[in-house]
Amino acid sequence: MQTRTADAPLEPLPLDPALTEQFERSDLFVAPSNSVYIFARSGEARAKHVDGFDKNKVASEFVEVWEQRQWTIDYLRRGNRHSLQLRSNSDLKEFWAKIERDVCYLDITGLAHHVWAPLLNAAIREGRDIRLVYVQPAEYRYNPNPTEAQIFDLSDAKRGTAPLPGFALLEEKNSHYVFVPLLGFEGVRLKALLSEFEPPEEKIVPIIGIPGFQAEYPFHTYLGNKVPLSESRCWGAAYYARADCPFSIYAILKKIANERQGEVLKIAPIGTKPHAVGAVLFKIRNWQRVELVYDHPERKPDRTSGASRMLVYHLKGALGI
Amino acid sequence: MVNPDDAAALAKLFGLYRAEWLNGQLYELFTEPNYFPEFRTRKPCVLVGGRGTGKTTVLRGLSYQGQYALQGKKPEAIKSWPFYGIYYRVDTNRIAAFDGPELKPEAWRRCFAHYFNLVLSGHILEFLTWYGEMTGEQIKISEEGMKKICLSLNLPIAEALPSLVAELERARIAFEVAINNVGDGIPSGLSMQGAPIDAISTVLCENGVLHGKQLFFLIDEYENFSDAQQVVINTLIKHVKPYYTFKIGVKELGWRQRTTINATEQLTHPADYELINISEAFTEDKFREFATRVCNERIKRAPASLANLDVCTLFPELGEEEEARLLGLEEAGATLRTHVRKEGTSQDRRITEGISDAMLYFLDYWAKGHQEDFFATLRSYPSARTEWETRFGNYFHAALFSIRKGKRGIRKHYAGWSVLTRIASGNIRYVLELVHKSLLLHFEDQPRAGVSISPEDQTTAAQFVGKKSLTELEGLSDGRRLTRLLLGLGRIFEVMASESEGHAPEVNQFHVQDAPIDSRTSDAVNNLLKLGVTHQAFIRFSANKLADPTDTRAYDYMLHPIFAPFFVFSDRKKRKMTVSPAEIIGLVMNPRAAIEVVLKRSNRSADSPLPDQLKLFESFYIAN
Repeated sequence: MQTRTADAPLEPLPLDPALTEQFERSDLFVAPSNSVYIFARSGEARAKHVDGFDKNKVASEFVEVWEQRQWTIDYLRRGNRHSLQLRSNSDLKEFWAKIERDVCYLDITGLAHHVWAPLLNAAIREGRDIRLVYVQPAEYRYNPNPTEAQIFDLSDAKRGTAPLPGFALLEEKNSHYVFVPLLGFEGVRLKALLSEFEPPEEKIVPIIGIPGFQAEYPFHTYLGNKVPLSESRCWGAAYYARADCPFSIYAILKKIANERQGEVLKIAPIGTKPHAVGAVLFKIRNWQRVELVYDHPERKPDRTSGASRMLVYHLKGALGI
Repeated sequence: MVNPDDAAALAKLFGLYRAEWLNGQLYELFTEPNYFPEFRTRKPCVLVGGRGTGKTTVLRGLSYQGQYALQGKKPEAIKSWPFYGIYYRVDTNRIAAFDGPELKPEAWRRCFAHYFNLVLSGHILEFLTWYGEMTGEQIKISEEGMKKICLSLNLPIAEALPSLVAELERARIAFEVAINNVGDGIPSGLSMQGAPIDAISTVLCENGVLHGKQLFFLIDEYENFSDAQQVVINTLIKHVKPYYTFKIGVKELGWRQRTTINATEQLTHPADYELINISEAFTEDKFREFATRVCNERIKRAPASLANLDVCTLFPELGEEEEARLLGLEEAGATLRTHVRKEGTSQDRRITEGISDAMLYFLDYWAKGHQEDFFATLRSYPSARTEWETRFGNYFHAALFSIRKGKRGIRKHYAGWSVLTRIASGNIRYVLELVHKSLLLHFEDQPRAGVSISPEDQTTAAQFVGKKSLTELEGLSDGRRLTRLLLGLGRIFEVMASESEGHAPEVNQFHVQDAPIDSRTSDAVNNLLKLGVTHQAFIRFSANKLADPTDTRAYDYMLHPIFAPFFVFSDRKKRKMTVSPAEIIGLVMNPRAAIEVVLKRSNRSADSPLPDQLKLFESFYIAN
């Protein structure tokens, strides 16, 4: 088992960065003029907050991602439906070029990882003032028939491991890697990834969202992942990063990368969306050192109920972007 | 009393049961399986086996890093090796990029073929660099040879090995960018399928630095390739050149495509490759012998106080009558003797005085099963002693499951080295897990910490490994359905085992009826059975050696015996029941009702209390 020595100071958690705005309710959100708000509705109540916006206060323009397929999306802009290939530099470039607004809000609440990640990557490449929006759920749905690794009932079958569009790393020579799962509640997903990649125990560095969205969530995370954490004996190597902060997780990933010179970071963003954002940003900034490993679960439409805080992450100027 | 630190060190030696976890120790602990010599030949070879059966260890043992370690780390010997193995594990996170609506299948095939060329070329160059460093020989590639290699990969002509490595890395990055933007068009500069492998191997092995040698491409987890990708690799295998060959590790049913890119051309055994199925290569005895060697090899590395142990001593065999006593036979016997004293005749009492508790219990078991009067059965014993001894020999094992029917605690023991290796059924990882968990339990129990592990600790360890294997299935893409099916079948076999009186004993197999069903149900059943076989939920067998491997109905299925201790049914390969496809689906969708239907057919009910270790799943059995 891998542990840090007891006297080693823990990485101080970054203070609430000024780069994050928080709104107790989404209807308190106000956007600057000349901004665009890109979003998608989903079966979850928290992804319907857009319907409650005062559209005069929120943005000059709304773009709705209407359909999210594996490799393509359809979106509605100014009443017209367009398609976009997620693995096309020219499509992504054109998407952002058409949006002639100073500030771009990309609401990731209702968007799948495989959709927002390439949009975000292209926005950064194009030098846009990109701000990510995320609405926390009020509650997650409990599993009516819970097992050790499935206390919550959040996703159905998985499509299986595949790179996020545009994020494939085809480096095959380097067998030296450290596996960094960003943990959520579904231990079964961690278990499956450990089973698929079989990393040695000293090469697993799990990251747990502490503080969580709710005070008790870290305990759910530990409980849900208890079996794979104990079987792989990696629990002692865990790091912590605020569950709602992509910048905190970025800092932790940077620390791990610095400690593991010469090793590729295989990061599995199977926890919170803000953690996944941090992982994607870290990949963008350290392309050949990082591989994102994602299992593409089919999220249950009623996996959460209610909506809680709204968070807006300002990326322009942060992390060298 | 064993020193706790020594005990912990011994247990730790068994805790590393995945090849990937062993790192430097993988080769130190390498134990050659009996099929290894066949695998070392110059011919392509396919090794079929479930997770944990040792494929990765064998493939990595053949790699140049493995051979170097296994042959005593002698740099001077490297040049004399007849082959150099290059290990490659198929990573789904990489190869899944070669799919999508952006390109037509033919264009994806070309992209994937180029990618595979880059991968193998990169590995060969990595090996050459290592070879040069280890042997001290400067790797020289002739100008003409370098041209051939570079042209085959569409690279600028390099001058020497380092610049070739750098050019290849640049090409790899450029290709990665192109694949990440494949919606903008097919990547340019694609190499021809297999051409660079031919070029490099010919340049090196014909007259170059590896003159007369052969390269082994060791491809692990072949099942991870998509069907279309398997066709590409099949083509390379079909047309191997003398300077290289392929050694493939694949899960059962994971080799889904046998054609090459010429759809009329098939890879056939033994013309094109040697086939080694680990489950067939290992009979029960051969596997036990192999498992013993593997475990004793690890024990030798334990601290001196324990290093001379033999694994067979750690796991002493448990006879049936001895086990019956552990399960409470004496209590059952005493109850029966009291009953005879109170209700029987003096002749009955005389008969009971002359027979053991085990036989007495068995006579009662038999009488109940055949709805005969106990005393009539008892009185038949003296005149048919031989017949009863035979029956006892045939059915007493089944009767063991009834002794503690419905009671708390262990209801049946799974103990003894031959039993533990049998429930592992060819899976060496299971053996190591069983030993590891048993040792941990044993040494936790300090007062009893001698050198042999109690049947209770062995059984608890076996239940743990069974449960762990069950929950691991949950993570598969269709794992929830498979887990539900297993929970349903396991409960059926458990009830059948505990109520075996008067029924076929030791039912732990099933055959799916060939009933007419709609194609959707048929596909769902076939997919579940295939998934179960691939991931070792089931073991399948057919009386017909020529059975089509893809015809799921042509086979009988047994729950993998690793699940036997968890559910409590017989681990021995015995009798089967027949279920309909609709019942298979019922066990997944509506398990409670389906379990009742199947059990009712043999006049049993699902009302008996669950074994303790199944209580975790109580809501599954009640709510669904």
